[in-house]
Amino acid sequence: MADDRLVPGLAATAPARRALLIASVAALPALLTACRGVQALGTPPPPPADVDTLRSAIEHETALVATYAAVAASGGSAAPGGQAGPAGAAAGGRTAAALAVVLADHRQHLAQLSSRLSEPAAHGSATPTGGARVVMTVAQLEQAEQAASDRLIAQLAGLPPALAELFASIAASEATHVPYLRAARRSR
Amino acid sequence: MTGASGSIPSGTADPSRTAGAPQPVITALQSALAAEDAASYGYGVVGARLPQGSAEQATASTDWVAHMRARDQLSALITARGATPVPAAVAYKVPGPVRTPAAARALAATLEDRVAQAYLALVALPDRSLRSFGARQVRAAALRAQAWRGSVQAFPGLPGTSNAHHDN
Repeated sequence: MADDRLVPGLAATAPARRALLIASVAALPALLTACRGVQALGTPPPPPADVDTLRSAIEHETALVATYAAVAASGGSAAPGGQAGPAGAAAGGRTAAALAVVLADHRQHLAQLSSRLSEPAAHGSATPTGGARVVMTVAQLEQAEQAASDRLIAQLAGLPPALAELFASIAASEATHVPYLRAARRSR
Repeated sequence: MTGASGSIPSGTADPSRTAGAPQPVITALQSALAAEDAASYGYGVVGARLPQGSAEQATASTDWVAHMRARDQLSALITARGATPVPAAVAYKVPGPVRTPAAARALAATLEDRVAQAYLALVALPDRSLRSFGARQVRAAALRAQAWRGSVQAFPGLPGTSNAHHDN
């Protein structure tokens, strides 16, 4: 009985969908004309400086996510002392767990930053594959975290208040990753 | 509030404590000062519950000094803007009983969370130097909280965001 009710329903919607597609194709010339009309207005103004700053922060955060994802893919743990080789080269459960925690933080940072951009980010919303990333040692990751924190604080001037607060909070989080990773690295 | 006991603020100022200067700048500075006063008091409680002569007690002492210095800085910033720093309360209520070293560590981390939240209000101000000062203080508080808690937060000081603690 259920099939009897569903089949007629499907049959009824198919022509309607075809009609919609045809109507869309018919509207194309008008849409193209409209696009030319927008172009005729001239080159759009450059985005405000705070949008550029936000895009830059999203790109840096995306790179950090990709770096940590690459470390996780290579084994997710530190070389002894964090100096002798890539972070994923040797076993170390505690370091691997810490790296996973930090990666989760960076994913949250990226999501929050991306949500503040009204247009889709060029790279920020994509899931980074990290295929071409250099796998860092944990000590190098600590340096990258400190640099990321300093960069965010240096970019605060001119940002809208809520975005400045987000930058400062993320800067603080990334600074705390330094002692967090170091403690995990040294506890092995 | 002078001579009274207060509760540890959660990062927002009581407008009646802002010396008749309703400007957002003075309000934010007074809120940060109140958080620092509460932290300075709270670290006394923290230090008393940590093992005598331990490295943790020394850390608590170092952190207490950092809060006292920040308190002096904030008082100077308020005075320079023509307002009067609100004096600290004689005593503050702590969030719960502090009878063990673990409770002392948890209190220290909570104090730092509240300090971080108060300084974020400075970051929201347009003044470039206050914004930078606030951000550096949020970071310093987050680092101290991380040391006490042994875990990290994705968004220190930022209410309404996911801040699950991850043990190290």
